[in-house]
Amino acid sequence: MVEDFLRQSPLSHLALAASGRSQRAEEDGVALAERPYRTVITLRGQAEDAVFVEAIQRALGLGLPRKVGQVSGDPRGREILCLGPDEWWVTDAADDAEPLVTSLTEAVGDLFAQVVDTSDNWFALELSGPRARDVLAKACPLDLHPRTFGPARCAQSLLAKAPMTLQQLDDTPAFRLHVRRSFADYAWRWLSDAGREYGVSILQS
Amino acid sequence: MLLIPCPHCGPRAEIEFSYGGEAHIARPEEPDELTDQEWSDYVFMRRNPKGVVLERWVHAHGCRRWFNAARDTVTYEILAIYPMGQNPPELPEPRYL
Amino acid sequence: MPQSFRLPEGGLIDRARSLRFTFDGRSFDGHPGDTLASALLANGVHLVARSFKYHRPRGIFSAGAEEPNALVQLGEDPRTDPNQRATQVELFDGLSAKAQHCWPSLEVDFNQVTSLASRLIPSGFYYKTFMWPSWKYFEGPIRRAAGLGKAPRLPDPDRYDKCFAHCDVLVVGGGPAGLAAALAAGRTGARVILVEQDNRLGGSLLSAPETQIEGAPSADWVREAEAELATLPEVKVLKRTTCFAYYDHNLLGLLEKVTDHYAPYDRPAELPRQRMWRVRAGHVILATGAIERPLVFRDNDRPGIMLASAASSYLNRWAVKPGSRAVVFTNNEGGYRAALDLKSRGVDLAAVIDLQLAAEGPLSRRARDEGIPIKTGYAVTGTSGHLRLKKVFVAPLDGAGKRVFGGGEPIEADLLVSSGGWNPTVHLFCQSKGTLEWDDSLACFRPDASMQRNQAVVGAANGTFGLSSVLVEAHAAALAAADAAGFSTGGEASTAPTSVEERDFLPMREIYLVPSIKPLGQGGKHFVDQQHDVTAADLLLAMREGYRSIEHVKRYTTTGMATDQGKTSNVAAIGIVAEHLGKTVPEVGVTTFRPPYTAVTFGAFAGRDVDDFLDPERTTPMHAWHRAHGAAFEDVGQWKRAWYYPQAGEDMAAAVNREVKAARDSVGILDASTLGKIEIRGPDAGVFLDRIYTNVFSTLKVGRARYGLMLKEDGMVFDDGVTTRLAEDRYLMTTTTGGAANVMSWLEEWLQTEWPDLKVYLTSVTEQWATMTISGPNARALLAELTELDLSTDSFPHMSMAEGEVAGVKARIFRISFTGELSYEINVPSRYGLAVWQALIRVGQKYAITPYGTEAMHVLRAEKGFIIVGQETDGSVTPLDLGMNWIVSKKKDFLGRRSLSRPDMLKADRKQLVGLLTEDGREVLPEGAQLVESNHDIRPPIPMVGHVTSSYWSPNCGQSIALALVKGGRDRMGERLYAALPDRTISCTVTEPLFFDKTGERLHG
Ligand SMILES: [Zn+2]
Repeated sequence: MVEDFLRQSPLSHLALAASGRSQRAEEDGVALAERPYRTVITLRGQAEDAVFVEAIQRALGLGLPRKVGQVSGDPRGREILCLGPDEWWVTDAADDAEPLVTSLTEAVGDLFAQVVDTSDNWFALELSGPRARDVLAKACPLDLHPRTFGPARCAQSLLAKAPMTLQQLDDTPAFRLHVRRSFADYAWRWLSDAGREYGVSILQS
Repeated sequence: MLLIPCPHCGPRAEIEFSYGGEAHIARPEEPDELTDQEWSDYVFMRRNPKGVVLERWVHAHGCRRWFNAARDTVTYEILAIYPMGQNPPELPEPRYL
Repeated sequence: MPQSFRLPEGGLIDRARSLRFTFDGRSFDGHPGDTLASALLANGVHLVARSFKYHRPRGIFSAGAEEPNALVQLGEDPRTDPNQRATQVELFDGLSAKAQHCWPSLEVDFNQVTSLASRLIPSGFYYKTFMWPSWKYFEGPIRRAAGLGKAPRLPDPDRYDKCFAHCDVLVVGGGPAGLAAALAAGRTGARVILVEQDNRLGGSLLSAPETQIEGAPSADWVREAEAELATLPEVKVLKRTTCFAYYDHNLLGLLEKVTDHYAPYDRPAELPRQRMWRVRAGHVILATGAIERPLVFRDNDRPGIMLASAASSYLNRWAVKPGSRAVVFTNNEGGYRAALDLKSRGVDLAAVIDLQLAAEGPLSRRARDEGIPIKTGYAVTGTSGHLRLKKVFVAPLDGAGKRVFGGGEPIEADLLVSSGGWNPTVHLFCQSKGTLEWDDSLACFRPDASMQRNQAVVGAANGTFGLSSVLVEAHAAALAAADAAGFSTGGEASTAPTSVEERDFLPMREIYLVPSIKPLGQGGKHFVDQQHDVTAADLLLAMREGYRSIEHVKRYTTTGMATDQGKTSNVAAIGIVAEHLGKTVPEVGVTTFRPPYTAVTFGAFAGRDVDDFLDPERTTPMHAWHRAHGAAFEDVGQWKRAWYYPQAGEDMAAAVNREVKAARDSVGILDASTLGKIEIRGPDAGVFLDRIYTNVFSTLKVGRARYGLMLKEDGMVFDDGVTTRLAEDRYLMTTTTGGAANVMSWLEEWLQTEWPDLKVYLTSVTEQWATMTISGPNARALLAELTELDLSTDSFPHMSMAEGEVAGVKARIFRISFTGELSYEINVPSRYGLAVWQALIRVGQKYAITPYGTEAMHVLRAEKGFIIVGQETDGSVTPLDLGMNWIVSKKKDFLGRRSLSRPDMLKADRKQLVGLLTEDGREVLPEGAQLVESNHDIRPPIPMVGHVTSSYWSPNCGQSIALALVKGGRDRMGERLYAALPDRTISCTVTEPLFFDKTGERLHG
């Protein structure tokens, strides 16, 4: 096992850990937090193959969502995001993906399926607060109105010029945004700037 | 900017998509059997008519799935979305009001 | 200075507060609620501009977005905007504005063109004049004299915002129609956005205080409507927001002026100056109103001449007298509204000049009863007064409306208002490709057929002019839209507000070109498009020169092509053309309206995408180290890659030479994290790769790697990289940095569209891994200190892969080389990239490990003749051109293969990859230099035989080296060529594209 202190968030140059607050300041419309080490496993497989579906559900203890944009599980713990008709993300609060990768790899065995650790391919940040939708509307063409989007929903789209996977965590509203690791600095600074008119609290990760 | 109904994700902004050109141009099974002319027709020649076109799109910044669309280049109306590998559905008459 | 033309009472202004502003350096006062135009008029200032071509004095012509004349330069550099319509600029304390393109001053402009000289600027002037070579003589003077305003010279210090929005019903226009529509739709619970360009809701009602809605003054109804809208949680009201564009599928562009109306010292720092909205609306209701049409008569452009409705607005909304003694010139009943307003607010009304043979409407009757002098069957034949209107000349008209009788009777007046009917504001409807029809009874173009689904045009914009009908129509359209969007429309919401019907503008006498006492063009000008200084005579000249289509006449004369897009001139121009050609107006047809409706700041289009947000800067996990060690960075796509690491006193050449030497002498380390990486799994993975690459991958052994080349179907090289077999059904593909996303799309495209039968899954892992390449004779010794793996060539040969720990971190190590040296490419999860990199640097000290950047990498690979896709290739280069036949399989089909045997691909004179050595080895060829065969026969055209693709100083070869694409290059070995530079030629010799370690023994250490 590698020492934790050796690892680096793509935002380590911003030294966020030292400056963050524990919760959003009353006067600020949004709060931003980085979530750098969560597990993100990309899973490809045939949704119409009952053996595959059964194997995944057994390995994860979660139902495999079949409709693109659906999420099953606990947003603060383990969950499955349906990203495409044959593509999912298994995400987990654990910062070591290996045990889960191993059990999923074993679960799919020789089936026509793919399990790939992509935890470090992606970087997650969380945007929450009463003006979170207004900040996202500056960057993203999705309609996030409660009538069309909500908790247990995810979508892939754009965050300004960065590809993004978005999910809503709760009705605060709080959103988790995944961008490719190299876009972390761009996404963070972009959102900080876009949120300026509402006030932005930086939270500890 | 078009609003394109992705068969998997629902209606999404055009900026999430990439255009894939004319649909129903199958790659020749035996390229060697083709004359140079036939091969270059396959590689280069497209029809680009005014009116209904059958074309391919990919939801590049979404689910990354390819699909076919029937779109009217006069009205820009998307008349139908249908899966790759399928023939176009029965289409309504073009609507030039 | 007193506001001597401000009425003692009335108006929607806050008289309790005064705002100080300057125009052309003179200070004035106005009130909150004023526009710049109303405040200037309150101070008696009419002369505000000089015209575009003739530099004629111009005044305030309108009270809204249609303003052609009163364009001002607002603010000071860098916060300055040209062409701001004084009629729409909200007054604030400290506002400063200047008149545009006049010199030395507005009152005395030396550029004013005399009537003699004006004959030299006929229609089609640009087409006739601006042709080489005469253009070079005209350009300077014309650019100085023409132009509308000045762009700021300094960078814009303001911030702009951009956002997306979605709604069920978008209502454009906050007048009576828009308010009724927004209320009706909003009450159903639908998501509604109401957009109003003005700072107040109410539209035309703001200028007509006597109108009644629901049995009360309309102002009360507007106030209550606004209050109710504010209580509806799903309704958003955007004031000071112009809908400037209507794109496909109900996407509309809005420009919100967020802080422009604040005094500079009051602007909230956290707010953007302007915000651009991109609204996707389920349904769109256009309630954009109508714009009054002026009459076209001789010398109709003097300060003091304006639209009749504008005069009413200044009197009623801003409590400003636009003049002391007025003449009203009309062809319809609506002009009498202005006459009554003027008289009742104390303006001396000299006469109403009415083109109609008789005036029989309710307003004209009232005017007659009030003793206003009315001359029916009369025309205004001309005006006088240099910087301000002094006299109006009138004369009786013949029955056909083609001639006037007599010499023109003078009437003293400083204000002349005209009304020629109304044009529905159909701009947005037309942008959405809706078609227009000519309504004979209204004498205007009104919407006919929509091209967009879920769209309605209501109120005056639809040619519905009576207030009661407007409210009913808007209400019904909104309910229909809400219903279609799935919102219940029963109950209270189903009643439309009621009003008294007034259709006071009908009927009218259509005369588009008002005759004068002299032939057209003599002794005065009939301006059609005041902003572009296009006259009726220009239109007739264009037709005499053979132009018939209105689109051609428009382009030839530039009528309707100024920043106002002819809001007050288009129909007049069409009418004049129709009259001249003996056609009807609809037979002539309309020109095309395009976005934007009114001008939009560049800053708003750019939004947040400026400076370092212009394009994302992607960085690798080791970026902080590179920065800390002084790296210069190179942009590769969106990536910032370490280019070279200059040490104290080193320039780029010295640093690169040192890095290149180190990688050959001991060991260098390169951050290669940006290379694309794709995990491939499935039983058909090998078959799939065989079809994608020119060479075979299905036979590759597990744990081994192979270089591959990808072509597009046209046979041109598209990408290259090394692919490794991780397991029987698993491969890891690497791609070029710039090609990573394209390759991933390319592979998915073929799998999904053409080969859905192949069982293969792909996942991009480009950023999962931090990649560092150690290269050089000491690479193995260094790596051995950080891993337990057996690195001997027997167990870990060239072109193979092993998994194990490096510096305590799980890693994939590839023994592959892009330098020709013994090299290991170490991949670790990105979070550990920096830690492992630092461990290699620390342990590597004993080998004098040298970090090298992309420039040294380029030199190292060029010494070995390895290509870089995008440098040696440009989308027109085949593997055969590169001399890479060895990688092109003869045994299988692959993408692009058939194209390689097309006749063009086999021509002997195709450009082929070769090496070049300069005659003087110290001389480095410039990349991109064209190659020619002779250095003495230099008469053009000189045949170009090729170009330099890569060129470097090679410290390992002790001379410069270059790669080039040369026609028939492989048959030219040893031949002399010349690189043609602007001032000289460089002599060089064609060689094999391989310069160092030609046997490749270093690779195997
Ligand atoms: Zn999709």
